[in-house]
Amino acid sequence: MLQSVLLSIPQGIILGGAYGAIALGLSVIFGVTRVINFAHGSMLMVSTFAYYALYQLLGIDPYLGILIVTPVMFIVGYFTQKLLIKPLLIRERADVVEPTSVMLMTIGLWYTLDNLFTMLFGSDYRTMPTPASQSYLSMGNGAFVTQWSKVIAFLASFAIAGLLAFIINRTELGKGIRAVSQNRDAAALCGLDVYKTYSIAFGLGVAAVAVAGACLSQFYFVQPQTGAVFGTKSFMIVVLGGLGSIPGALLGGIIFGVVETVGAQFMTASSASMLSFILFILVLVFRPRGLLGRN
Amino acid sequence: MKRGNVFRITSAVLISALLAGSLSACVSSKPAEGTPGSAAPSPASVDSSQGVKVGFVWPLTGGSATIGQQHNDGALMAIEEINANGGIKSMGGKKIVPVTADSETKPDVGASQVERMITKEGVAAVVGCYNSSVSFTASETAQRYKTPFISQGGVKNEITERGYDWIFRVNNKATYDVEEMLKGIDLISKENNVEMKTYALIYESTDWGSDNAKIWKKFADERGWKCVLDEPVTVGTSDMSSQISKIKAANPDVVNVSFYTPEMIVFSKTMTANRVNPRLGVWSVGGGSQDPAYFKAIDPKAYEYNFVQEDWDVSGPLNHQWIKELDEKVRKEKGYQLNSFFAQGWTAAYVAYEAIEKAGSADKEAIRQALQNLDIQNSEDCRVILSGYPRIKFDKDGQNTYSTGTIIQYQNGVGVGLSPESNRAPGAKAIVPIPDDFDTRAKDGKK
Repeated sequence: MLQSVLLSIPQGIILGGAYGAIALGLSVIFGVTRVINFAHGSMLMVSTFAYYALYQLLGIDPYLGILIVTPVMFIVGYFTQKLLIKPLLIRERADVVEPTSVMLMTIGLWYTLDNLFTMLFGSDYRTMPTPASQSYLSMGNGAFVTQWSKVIAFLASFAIAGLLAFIINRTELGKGIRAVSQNRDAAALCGLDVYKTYSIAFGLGVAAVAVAGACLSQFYFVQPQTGAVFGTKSFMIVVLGGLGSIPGALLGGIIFGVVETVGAQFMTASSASMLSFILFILVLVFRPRGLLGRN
Repeated sequence: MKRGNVFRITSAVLISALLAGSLSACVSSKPAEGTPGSAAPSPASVDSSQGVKVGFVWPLTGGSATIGQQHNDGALMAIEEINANGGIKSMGGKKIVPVTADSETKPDVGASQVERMITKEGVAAVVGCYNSSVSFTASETAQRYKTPFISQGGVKNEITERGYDWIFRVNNKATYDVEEMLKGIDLISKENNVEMKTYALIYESTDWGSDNAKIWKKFADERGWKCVLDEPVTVGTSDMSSQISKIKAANPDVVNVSFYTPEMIVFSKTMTANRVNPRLGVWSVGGGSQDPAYFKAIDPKAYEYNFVQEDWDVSGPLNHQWIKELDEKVRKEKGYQLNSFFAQGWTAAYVAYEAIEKAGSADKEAIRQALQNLDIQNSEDCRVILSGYPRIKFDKDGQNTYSTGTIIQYQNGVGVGLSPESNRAPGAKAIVPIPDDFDTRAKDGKK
């Protein structure tokens, strides 16, 4: 019993890394634009469908497909911010930091995308028999077994986090992003195009989730309700880790993964996912800004 | 108007249109609001001037989509044959008009589709719905509208145990499934001197899986077997590493599985990757294990040595010429081999036809009585019972008491019938205890 509990910890860490990869984009979007993007999960779902389409029609492996899908999703994110969100932000410019109409708009976008895809593609569960999804990493003669696609997702989460951190901390663009996230008006006074920066940050967030989508599509089904499952989870992870903190999103994801997997050893796996929700509530009560979050 | 305003108005209009479009897509898949008791029972007879309409409700999308498609293929091919052979002779050669609907593997959608078929399409009878959870609610609707409901696929006992006189189940119910499996385990453990002491239950958490687990526990307790794990799994779960590691730790003699196709794929792959080998094997109640899509998606290694409770006589194509010919036709036209689901769809459609033929009209009460008095004996010229039952006759609850299946074991990628002994080919033997040959098993297995 103890052995299976101990073995479930690395399983949880790997799964948690995958969760973190998905939540990273949400953290960036919130950290910079203060927009709570409820359509985050739907963007993930759309990207998995894009990889599925590329794989089925052109035989392109999803990891290679990242090169095609990520720039496209960046553009999608960029224009979502520019055309749908910016007008609402401008209108509510005077008061709130987190405009409610934008939040409602992203909820609408979530429902629209999920149902649009259900309408177009049906609710069937699809899988892609790619090399990564079919092969297993086995250690200790079967004591610890996991899919390679999950391991790659775990490693990818660090790669995505590293890349995002690099862009934000070491580039000119990143400087602008940091300036805007610290103080919107001061940045505008310094000559920065605030809304363009927002659009770029949004694009980056969606591009990040598109990369995570390539990893996810290989160990999870491709189906229109993916967004609902992982969108909610991403929220809880980002709150746990701290809104706007990149390492926070990773840490939050890993904590969630471990709680779920270790918990599943003591109760059914479905009940164990309830533990994540309990954890989320506890974090909100005792440390609302999250583990690594800024104010 | 300023350019900004024009733009904003256009965006607002576009977004509203998108939202409205998506909302209407949402709404159309929700059940129709109708309070029980307020709907008047539909007229006893239906308009049969253009042929007799029979409704079919299957899961054509969702987790059971491939299975639903196969049921539908079987039903439609049977109707084609019936119409080509002269239709309903007692009604002057009127054709049967099949009306198909998608339950989306959801109980509320299934029920609303049945209601739509009865009230808008004017079907004389309804056949469906494969999933136990969907059949349970859909049949309730049919009972309310006093329309014959031929239940096919759902094994939940209660479907025919509610005292509803409009519901007739052709296939086996959950109790029969479990009895057949436990008898099979008894037989195989005795013959091969492998003692049976402990079992694990892992199952999908809706009616089918839960009922099976409950009944299994009841009968297994009577035999003195111990349950070492009881693990319901939510539909849509794509990762079962936690559950499999629990099974491994519990080390049961038998693992009883009830999953539909997507979860069965994940289960088999994870079990194999984790090298989990229960001594008396994995015993699957069916579902995904009978679906060609399952076999296409995984390596033969992953299902080698598995026992499956097949809901039809798998030796059909080997022993009967007409079934062999039908198998070839299905392979050519549909791209998969004749299987339990196609067979059951076919049989259910034929039962509907037999009842209408016997009733001689599209009057629902007449069809109901015809079903009550139906007695079809299987024989070499009988094309009704593709599923291989010896007979179809409904008891007072509407249950066909002659629905039997076969326990098979996959050996070298091929299903070998083992239990009951009458369904066993000469020389066939179970392979137990399950060998620990993960690297070499099913090397030359066919798919």
